[in-house]
Amino acid sequence: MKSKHLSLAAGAVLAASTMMIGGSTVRAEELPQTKAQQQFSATKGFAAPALAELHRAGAVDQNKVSGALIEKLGLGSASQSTKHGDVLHLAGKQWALDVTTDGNGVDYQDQAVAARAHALGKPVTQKMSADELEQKGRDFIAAKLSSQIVLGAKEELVPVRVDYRFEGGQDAKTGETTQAVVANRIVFGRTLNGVPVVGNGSKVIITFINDGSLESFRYDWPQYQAAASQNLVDAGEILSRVQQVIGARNGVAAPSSAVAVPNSEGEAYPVELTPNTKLQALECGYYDAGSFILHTAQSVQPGCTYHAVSQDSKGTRAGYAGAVPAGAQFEQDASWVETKMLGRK
Amino acid sequence: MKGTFLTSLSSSIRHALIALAGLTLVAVCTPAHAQLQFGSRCEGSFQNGWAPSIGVDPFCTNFDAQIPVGEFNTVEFYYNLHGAVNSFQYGNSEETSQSWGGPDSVDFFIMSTHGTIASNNPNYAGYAMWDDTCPGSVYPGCFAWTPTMRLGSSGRQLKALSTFSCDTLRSEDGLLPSRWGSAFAGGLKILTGGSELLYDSNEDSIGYDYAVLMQDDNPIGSSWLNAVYNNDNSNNPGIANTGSNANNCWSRQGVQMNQLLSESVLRDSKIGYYCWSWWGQP
Repeated sequence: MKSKHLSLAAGAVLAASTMMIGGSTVRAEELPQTKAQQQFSATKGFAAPALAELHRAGAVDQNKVSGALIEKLGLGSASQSTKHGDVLHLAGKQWALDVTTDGNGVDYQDQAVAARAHALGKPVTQKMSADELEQKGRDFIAAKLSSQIVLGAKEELVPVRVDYRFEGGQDAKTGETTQAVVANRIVFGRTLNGVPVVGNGSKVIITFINDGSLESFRYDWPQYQAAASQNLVDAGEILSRVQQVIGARNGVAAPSSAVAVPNSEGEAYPVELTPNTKLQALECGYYDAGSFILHTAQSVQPGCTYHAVSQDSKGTRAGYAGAVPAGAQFEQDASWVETKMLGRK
Repeated sequence: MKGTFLTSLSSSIRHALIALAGLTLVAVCTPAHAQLQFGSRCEGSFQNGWAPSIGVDPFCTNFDAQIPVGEFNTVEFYYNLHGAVNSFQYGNSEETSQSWGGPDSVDFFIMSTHGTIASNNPNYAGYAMWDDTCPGSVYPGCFAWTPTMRLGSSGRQLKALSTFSCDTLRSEDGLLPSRWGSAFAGGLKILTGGSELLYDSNEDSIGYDYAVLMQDDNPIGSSWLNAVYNNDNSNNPGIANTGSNANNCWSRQGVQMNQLLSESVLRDSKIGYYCWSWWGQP
């Protein structure tokens, strides 16, 4: 095998993939309401002309959070307690629990359940449906996380997307290949007065293996306090900001013509931003990067997350993700790079 | 008598030496005392702009900063990918040289750059170098192609390769073993990367989270899957490895960082199975 591969390499002049040009898509399975939100964001931006800035609040003691969850989940005592930076890490027999410094972010892993996932693999066609995952997720939150995932007035818990963990294998001698789905995941988000929180904040990610057992959950769920309002820019200006940021990041000069706002009646995506770079998804709302990142911001401003894909003439593709501020005037935030790139408006 | 004494003495010395050798072997083979050598290479800009820029530096720097160096681990280098294609080619002396940043000069190698699948041969996955030209690649652009690699059989014998690059672990087409067979034939124990798109994010904490999760005794593979997915739920992280058979392969996919040195090496005909996992959509 070795000599075969090496001789192939020696005799070949390889070209980077060109077969994917024009065919790049975000391999995300956003749910219908998420797609509708993305469509609205690209065509309209926001429904209202102004939106309040928010502040993350409601910090909770890490030890109280971990203690309550350990009891609720019936985990017994922790045999290990350490700190990774400001994050509290607890571990017991076959489980691990991490709590962020403000107590509003938790990551839980059940290693015993994870170890069973492979043996319970099913054909891909038998993966859990989005509806089933939503119901199981809501049931779990109600049963085990009701003290942490608390909804305020006019707040809603909404399903955002589902994802799956797949396994594949190939016998080296026969070439026989197998594929299975082994874990099923749902991501929930939050809306405030119908406006979504975008970014990694206000998310609940729950993973089940095929027998329905909980493998892991992770949430970031602060309370928010409203502050001063920001007047919002329209969809054209939002797309222009995304275009400006992408041009700065990928080193490709933005075209002199403004990015065209897609027609709301057709499919909005992809949106051409710069030569070879297309916007695949835009979601506008309150931008909260969450508490798991290295430098958490307390301020949550109106903003729009973006996912763009660049493919050059040789087919090399690169994904760019981030968020642009949406306020006509916005605060520069040291932990939000785009606010510095775009400067004070 | 003399002879007997000497024989006895030499026997004692021999036993002592054997015992010492045994202790030394225990010391060398016990994971808790094993020292892992790490190397990292990240490249975010490309000669004459032949490929778009990406912000990959945080991946390398955050990972390196979080690895507990000193008694058990060392970070040997953090280089860019200028003129680097030779260091990925099996048989080239640069491939085992820390001065040249070769993967087989360390135990654990991380990298971030553009990834691709060759358009004229889907059995080739490639990593973009900084250079806009090199032998074996169509101008403009220089790629280190996976079939030129044989990782883990020479030098320090690489055990783990983690790359934050798009597409190189694509498995949906069933060709992952074809693309990576040569590299795995050298004995590489665990491979992590992107099965489809991985997004360059301004809030990148992947390198940090990956290193932390591994140090909490999570398997290397699941640490990667979780660190990359959690940073951006649109990411499609993937992992792959080999085994003597299917059961052995899935068992070895759970290898932890502190088991990397003690886990047995599988090379060439000893490899009976390839297995992989990834997050995404069917």
